[in-house]
Amino acid sequence: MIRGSPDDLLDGLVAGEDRAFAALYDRHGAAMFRVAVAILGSPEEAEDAVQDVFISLVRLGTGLRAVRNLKAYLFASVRRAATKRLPTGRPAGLLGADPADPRTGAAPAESAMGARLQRALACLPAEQREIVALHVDAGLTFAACADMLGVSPNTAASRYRYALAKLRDALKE
Amino acid sequence: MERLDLPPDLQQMERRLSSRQGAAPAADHRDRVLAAVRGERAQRRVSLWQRGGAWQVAAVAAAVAVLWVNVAVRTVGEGWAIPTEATNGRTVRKTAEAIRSIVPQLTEREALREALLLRAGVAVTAVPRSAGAARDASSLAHWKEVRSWVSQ
Repeated sequence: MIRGSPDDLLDGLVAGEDRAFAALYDRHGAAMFRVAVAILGSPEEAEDAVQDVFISLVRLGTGLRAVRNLKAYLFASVRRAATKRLPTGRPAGLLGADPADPRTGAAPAESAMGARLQRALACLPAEQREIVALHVDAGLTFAACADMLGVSPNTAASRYRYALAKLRDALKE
Repeated sequence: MERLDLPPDLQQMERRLSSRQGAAPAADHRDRVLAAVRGERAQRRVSLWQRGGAWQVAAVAAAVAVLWVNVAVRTVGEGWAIPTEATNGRTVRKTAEAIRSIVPQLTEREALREALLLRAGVAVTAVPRSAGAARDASSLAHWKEVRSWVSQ
């Protein structure tokens, strides 16, 4: 098990070590999946998008050494892979999302409030759902999110604030 | 997570989001991803080997081409290698004796020198000179005559 710094993990990935890829999945796999689900809505598609990212890491090989922030790179990659899988003209995440599917986060055992929250999340505009996933699920800073989305940190923070307000209103109804 | 200056109700919403049971991939997703990673790595190794194999074939082909060109140049420059008599002491002496029998006034030393020169020319292909055709023809005829009696 690789427990060292991100640099150690990066070295392992460049060397093509199985345990490095396993450690990467254990650290970020679930969050990557959540970001992909937020974009695609479909758990199956989201799983494939995450797999695409891992395969792209293998293909990158020694090119990975140029990556300065592995975590930001990973989530930018999963966002790109998920966006690529979106059919043309389809609003991100609105089709194929089944809030009752345990893989979308609404487990049957979870409270009714949890299910309502999940449905409210699925109804958010794509850009707001994405910033929630990147900030809350992936734990990225607004600066990192802004860099990834091509907007200013203030815009990223505003989107997040609007998303919280909409969720609050949806749960009040 | 960064702290925004949020009103209490939005802070509560944020806490609820953070503590919710997040979406999770299928139980076998990890294994599938790692298997795909291994498969991709194996495929890349094969691909690299194939690329290396192609270079080896190219290198062998280049070596064969260089060898062929080398042989061709040697063939054009020197003619086909026709086995000739070895220029050893016995044949040179026999040639010198033949010369002295025809031209007895030559000293033995001079006859040997002429014999050596003649033997040295045995392997040379007789080619007419480019100028003076009549003289060349006579020269060639003379050369053939000399060769015939030198080789006896």
